[in-house]
Amino acid sequence: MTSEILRYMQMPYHEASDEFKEQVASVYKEIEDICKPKVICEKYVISLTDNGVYLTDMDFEVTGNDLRKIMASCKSMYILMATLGTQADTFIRRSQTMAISDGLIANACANVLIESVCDMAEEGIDEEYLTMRYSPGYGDVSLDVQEPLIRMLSATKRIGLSTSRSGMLIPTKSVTAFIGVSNHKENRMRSCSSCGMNEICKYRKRGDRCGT
Amino acid sequence: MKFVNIESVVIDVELKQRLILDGAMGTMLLNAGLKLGELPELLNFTHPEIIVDVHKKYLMAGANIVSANTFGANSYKINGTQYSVEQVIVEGVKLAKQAIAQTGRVGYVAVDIGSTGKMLEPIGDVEFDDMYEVYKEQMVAAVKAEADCILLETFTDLYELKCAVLAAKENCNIPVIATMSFEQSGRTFFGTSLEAMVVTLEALGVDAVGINCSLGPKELLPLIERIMNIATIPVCIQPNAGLPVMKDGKMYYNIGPDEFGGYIKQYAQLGVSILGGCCGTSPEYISEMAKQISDVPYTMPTNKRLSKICSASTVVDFEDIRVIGERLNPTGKKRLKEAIQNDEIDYILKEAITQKEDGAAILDVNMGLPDIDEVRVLAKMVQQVQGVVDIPLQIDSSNHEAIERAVRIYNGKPLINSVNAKRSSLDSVLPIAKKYGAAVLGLTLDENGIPETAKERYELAKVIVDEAVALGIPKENVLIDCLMVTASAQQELIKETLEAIRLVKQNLGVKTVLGVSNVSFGLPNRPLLNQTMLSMALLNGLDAPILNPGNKQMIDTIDAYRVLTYKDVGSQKYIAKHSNTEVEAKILDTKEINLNTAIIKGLNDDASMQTVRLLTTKAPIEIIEGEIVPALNHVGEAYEKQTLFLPQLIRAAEAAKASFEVLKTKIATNETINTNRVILATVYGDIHDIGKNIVKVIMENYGFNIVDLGKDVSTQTILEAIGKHNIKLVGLSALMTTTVSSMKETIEEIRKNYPDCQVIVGGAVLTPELANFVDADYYAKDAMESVRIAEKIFAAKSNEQDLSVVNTQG
Repeated sequence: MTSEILRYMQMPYHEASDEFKEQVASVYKEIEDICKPKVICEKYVISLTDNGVYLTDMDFEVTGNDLRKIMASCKSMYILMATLGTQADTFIRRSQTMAISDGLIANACANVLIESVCDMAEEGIDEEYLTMRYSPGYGDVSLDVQEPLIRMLSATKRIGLSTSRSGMLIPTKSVTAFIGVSNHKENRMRSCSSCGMNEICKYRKRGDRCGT
Repeated sequence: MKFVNIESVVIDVELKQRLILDGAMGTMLLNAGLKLGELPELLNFTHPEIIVDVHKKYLMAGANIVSANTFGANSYKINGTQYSVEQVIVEGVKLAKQAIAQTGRVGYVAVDIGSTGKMLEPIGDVEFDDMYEVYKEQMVAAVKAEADCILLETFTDLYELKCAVLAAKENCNIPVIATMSFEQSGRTFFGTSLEAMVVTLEALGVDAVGINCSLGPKELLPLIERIMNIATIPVCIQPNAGLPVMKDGKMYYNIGPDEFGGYIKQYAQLGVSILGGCCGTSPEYISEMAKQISDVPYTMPTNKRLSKICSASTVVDFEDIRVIGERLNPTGKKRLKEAIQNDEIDYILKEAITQKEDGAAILDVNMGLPDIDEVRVLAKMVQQVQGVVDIPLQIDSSNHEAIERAVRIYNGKPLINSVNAKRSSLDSVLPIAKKYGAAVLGLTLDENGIPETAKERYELAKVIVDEAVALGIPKENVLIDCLMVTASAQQELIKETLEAIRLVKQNLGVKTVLGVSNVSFGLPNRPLLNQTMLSMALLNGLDAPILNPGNKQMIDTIDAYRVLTYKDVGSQKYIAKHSNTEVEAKILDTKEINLNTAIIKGLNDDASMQTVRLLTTKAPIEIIEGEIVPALNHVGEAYEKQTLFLPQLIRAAEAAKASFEVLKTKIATNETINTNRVILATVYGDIHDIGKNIVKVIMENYGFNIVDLGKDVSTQTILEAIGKHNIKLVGLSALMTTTVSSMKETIEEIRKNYPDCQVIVGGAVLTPELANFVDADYYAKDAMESVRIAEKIFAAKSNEQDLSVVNTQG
């Protein structure tokens, strides 16, 4: 966990002092204590369309070729929505105000925490084969689908999740994602080639991977 | 329907009984075939018969109030359909009235209003006034529809609810019921506490306050007990039908009508006035609860008349000593003045956080400087401070417009500082306290100044309290400051201040406040006088001293006072805090770390200490050139070679900044280190700012004068700042692909209006190609590269300038 947090800070694990690692671990613990992560993870019937994936119950199409490819062998998918809540944002803002270095640590810890919240939600899914977890904004699924999905799942009322006018999630440490239920074993690693960051990725330049 | 306010026996004089609200509408509509993505409000037009039928069932089950099918009828949700907000609300109320007429029952129609689903600044990106307009549209429609009351429900953000309540109170004169959804902890998703909700909503003058949704009646019971302990107005509760459980892929609630009714009966016995159901409830639940509560005698909450103020999460009463932090007032504080003038929000917020950590229970916020737009700046600062500290604020200004604006956008119930006994002050400030339900601090002075004797000051305090009460402000909302005089000028009057506090406490029964540290002005060893004065004032009944909580002796004095007056029972807090005092006493490190090393290692305290030491022998410029710059160069190069990494780079920058802060105190204000000003901003629509803030701290260390416009910054704001500060370089950041287009628009406008201004872009999604696409002059991959680019740009500009100087001279 600490190594992941350090990675978000662009700090190689072996270069960090023990003291720094301890500080990072204690901030992580603090964020874990003050945040009340909330999750919605629900299964919906889908069918493939020419441009993406159609959610039958909602009469709603999510367009995106990448998503269509991932869901190629799926008849249903889980919609995952997770948030650390506004407490995380306030904590990061307060840390940043006191010292940017503290803000950087808080921000990285919150990123790792929300990912682990998603991992746990995913582990709770009782299906034989799942696809990778795929989020709007990654590849060619627009962030714009988040707003209607939040509305249809009443996510504002249920977990306090909302969007800004430009379609970003608020609270900021939140995730929306699709996980397909497949009929065979899928490659669950995300590929660098479908990542929007692939050309400027610092890890790739070092011959490393970001780990997500 | 008439709701009779606080002091009366029943809320509905016609019915002379508690009121029964209906149950879930959404659940009924889903059962009737509503699809997930559909807006339930549109059924008012497409299937009015279903809506009328639901209302009728609830009326027949015993509901006195039916909620019209208008929960989501706000412009964010309704715009884009073929109907207007007004149409939906008018139609919704009409259907509810039809149902009442058809059943022949006595019933009232509530316009049901939920939260917009958007989030207010500073957490979200919607401005308070814009949100207000959304609610105003609904309230105006409710009046047109001739509804009987407004039901604001399922809110989780107290700030948004305050906005909605203001819209209701200012645009219609029917009763307002307001409820929020809490988790078992007694807090909402936003951290709003039950107690803060009650205090804030009562202050705003709602007619009933309470809880709905989120939990079942069993889980809500302890929360309701907490509300009943503090509420002074009618309470309204609408629980879910228990907790949701999944069975065969469908969701059910785990409590049946009979059990539900049993819990509701307990609520009625506790004195809850308005009862109904939320998710999962149906007419059977309402019918059962109506039956079970019918023989419970009707009682009302009693008013405990405590002085209280609050933020959205923290209520502060004055039943113990409460420290009001004085540091956010620029009077006599050069550095804060500069920070306010230069919009250095971080400096101000840091003061706020530090005071809270040092033990302040309330923070005074005063932004009164000549030549600033105090109305705007005070309100903005109140909002920003509330974004980082959760304690209540004392809004301090002599400009009543600034007070009103700040009180209006304040999240919670604030304390106004101040009103005095001058006619003009009473007439302008008290109505604000009345309208927003704020507490108000009264100063014992009038047109003739501060009276000398205690008796006269007491008389003025009485004038203020009487005027407030006559205006309908509860007496407990008034606090009195008997005013500190300085021992150097009016030594003989200090005892009058003390006596006045005693008289006010004894005869008026209100809480008292005092700016203690004024006493020592102009005398040596000020802490000694302040500390002694504080003890004496506390003994005479002072409740809330205004002081600098960073002054440890003052806080220690209060700790000791609480022991000696039996407030800290068993001296528990005292022991916990003071046992280690001697051990903690700082042992000075004998190892000398020089400034250069302190910066490279990122040690802030050492960096400032060494700077202070160096200043005894060196001029500031020598320290900068001989110590700080070489250290920064070392760190910068090591970072570029990747032998040192981002967290280390930032820490070094912060240590250098600490050193600069020390130097700033020695450098005359007109002798700035570097005049190269750069604007930094995260573009419109983007709410991520950590990358921009990193660039800021690094660039500041290389001597650039940063104008930080923050995040989600409109093009207009950027253009204005370029003009105002005569900017030649702008750094723009964007984290998300969706905001790259906003970056492009901003750059287009900069090109049009300020063709000689250059632009650097950066941020997670930016690439050299995208930088090209948005027409930036430069792409910087990280903070150090921004520094290098900026250095080049300004070097080139200064060459041009030198040439032009030569030319004009030639």
